[in-house]
Amino acid sequence: MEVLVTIVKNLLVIVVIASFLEILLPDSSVRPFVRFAIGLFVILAILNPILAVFFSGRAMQAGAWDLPWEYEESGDYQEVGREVNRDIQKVGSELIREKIEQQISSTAILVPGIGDLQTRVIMTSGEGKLSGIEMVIVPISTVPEADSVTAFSSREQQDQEREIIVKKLTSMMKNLYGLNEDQVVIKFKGE
Amino acid sequence: MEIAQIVGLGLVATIFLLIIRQEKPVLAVLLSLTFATVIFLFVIDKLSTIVAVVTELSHRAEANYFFLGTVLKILGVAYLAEFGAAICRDSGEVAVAKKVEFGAKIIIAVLALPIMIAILESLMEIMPR
Repeated sequence: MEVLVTIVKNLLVIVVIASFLEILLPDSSVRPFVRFAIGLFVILAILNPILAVFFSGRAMQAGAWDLPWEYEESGDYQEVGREVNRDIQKVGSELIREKIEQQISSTAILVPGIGDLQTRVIMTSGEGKLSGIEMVIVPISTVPEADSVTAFSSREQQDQEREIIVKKLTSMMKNLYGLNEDQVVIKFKGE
Repeated sequence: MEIAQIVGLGLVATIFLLIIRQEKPVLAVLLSLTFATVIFLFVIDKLSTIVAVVTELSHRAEANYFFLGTVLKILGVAYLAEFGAAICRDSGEVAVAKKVEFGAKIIIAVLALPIMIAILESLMEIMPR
């Protein structure tokens, strides 16, 4: 009953609107055409709620092809669409970059000799592909404090250890992300 | 009193038109056009208020705005055509006025097509096969 009351109320408003539009009509030979269109609108307004009630929520909708296409404005819409797309890509790419950085840091920390590291991932702006990795490593010092006798040999040992770390990390990054050697830049803190 | 201004403008324009039409009919057409434009600009605010109220009411009545928008467009086309045809008729070009009206009728028919198709499609769907 409540549905019917709502339908009748809405119909009343629509019929009043239609009558109001009809009195606005110009007095010319196009008048019958406009009256016909207004009549169609009223029929639609009557049919729509009835169909919605009796035919399981079916309501008349304007098909996509019915909607007018403003040619002048279409360029603007396309540009806005591209901008939104760019923003989405940017946000997505930023998230991916952060995740990859975390992934690399947590994997690289497992390599012996690395105490801590900072990772920076470089991605191509257009395609959002991984184009390079930069790492700054803080090594765990396995070498004893340098003194006057062992200074030279300990320095050599440290270089060897660092070389091993670089090789291991480069190989790991190459295998994990399919990068070339020159795309992986590894530095040690203080270098 | 805006109506007094409109009537005053109308009377002045009519007197000028009566004088000018005898000597320079082209100028008379221009004056008529100017008068129509001034009147249109005068009432455009109120017209937008009417459209806004009708739109608001249709929203409350849960009517599909696409269809109401189409009806409003049709009304606009009818007014524009009437305006153009009247100017043509004033200038003695009845044939041109008829063509303007013919164009308006076609455009109105094209605008009304989506509403008609929506009704017919719905009716066909609910008909037993």
